[in-house]
Amino acid sequence: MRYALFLGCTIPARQNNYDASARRVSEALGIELRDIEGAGCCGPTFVRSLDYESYLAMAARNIALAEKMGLNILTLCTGCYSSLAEARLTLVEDPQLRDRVNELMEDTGPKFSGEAEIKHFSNVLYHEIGLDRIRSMVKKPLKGLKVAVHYGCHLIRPSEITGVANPENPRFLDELVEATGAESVYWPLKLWCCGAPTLAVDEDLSLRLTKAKIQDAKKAGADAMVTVCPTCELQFDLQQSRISETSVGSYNLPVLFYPQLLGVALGIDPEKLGFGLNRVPATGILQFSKQ
Amino acid sequence: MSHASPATIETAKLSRDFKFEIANTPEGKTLLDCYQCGICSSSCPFSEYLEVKPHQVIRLAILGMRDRVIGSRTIWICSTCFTCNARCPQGVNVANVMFAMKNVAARERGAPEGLVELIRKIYDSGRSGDVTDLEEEDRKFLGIPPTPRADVAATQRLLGRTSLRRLFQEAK
Repeated sequence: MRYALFLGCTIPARQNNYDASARRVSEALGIELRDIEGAGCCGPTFVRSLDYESYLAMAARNIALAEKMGLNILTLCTGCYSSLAEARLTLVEDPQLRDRVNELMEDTGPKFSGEAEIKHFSNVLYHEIGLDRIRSMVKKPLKGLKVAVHYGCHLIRPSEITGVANPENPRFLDELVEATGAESVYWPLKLWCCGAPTLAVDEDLSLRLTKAKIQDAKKAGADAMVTVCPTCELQFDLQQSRISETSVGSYNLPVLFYPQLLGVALGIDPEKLGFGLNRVPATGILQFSKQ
Repeated sequence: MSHASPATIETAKLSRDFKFEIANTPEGKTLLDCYQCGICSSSCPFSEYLEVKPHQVIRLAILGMRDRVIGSRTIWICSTCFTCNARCPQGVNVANVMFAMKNVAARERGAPEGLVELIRKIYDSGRSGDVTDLEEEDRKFLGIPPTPRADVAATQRLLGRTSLRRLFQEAK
């Protein structure tokens, strides 16, 4: 099982813990990842907000690089996943738009054809590796750990792009979390936006959503929040100290990337999973690796 | 409608073609299917803070109140969570219609500076975030390969052909 790994912008700039843990877990599960030389920004929503064609062309340029490698794309970022997957579908279905985008891409690298499929890491774990295999490899079951699962909007909606049959109640990430032995708790605001995309437009409004969600997860008794979206992780982890009621009394809710959680359960050294880069210390989870 | 809405609509001032301007774009094509049930507004996590709610933006566009749409804060507050799309009984892709409106607003009135800055960063470095020696040190420590090189020249050639080029010409 081999994929072209599309890293995007946020992960190498701020979250090498996601990258490292995803690579360690992939290695353990037999997923081979190849970096894409020359890949850049995927054409995220803030580009799409300003100019639709620029978004499509940026996404298509990156997809074309993987096509030249002869590999399907695996993304860690849910935003990149959504940008690339929707652009691919749009351009495969609309030859006129595809020609226009290939014009914009002239002399920037290979042409876009639409051959490479776009998959998110969580889809590959769930559909290609499978829960049974993951369960069978767990060495340190995370019994008693309560997790607030946060998907990231662009991993589940719109379902025409993501293929998630019930975007009002998705289960795959909950099941992946439960495969480690942890418990996925019910929290009413689970499927709400984290607020991050609005941060650069209106910081106060953006952080209101973040705060509501963190309070909700705490109220549900979560020991940690687990996500697969770097933008959401950054919002919950980095911004958590800013939205605390008092300077001392922080919410103290660790925010982990799923492969960090899975990595601990698989018995991988937490240092190699990048726990040192999580801003809210995940002390409680690290206890499991010592057992 | 909120208290800030005008009591009367001056029909002579309406831009009757605005709805087609939006509906004729790939992102805006579902605009005309709205029947004003308001589920988008009741699903939007930002609704309670918005003076003009999502379903009102849609209605203003269909009426032809162009300035109020492209001048509205709502279209830029949208975090594109796509909950409205998922719940609309008419299949209106509300978040996409907002993208189409933002494209018009960005061309005619500019975009929020925070977003423009991110796009300038992409033009300058190929990515929207800085990868410094510090991050490369982290990667070495974690035992993972260096960040793959971004192709800045290709990014600049591509963006230089799009309508976004004005952002970089102004910046220089």
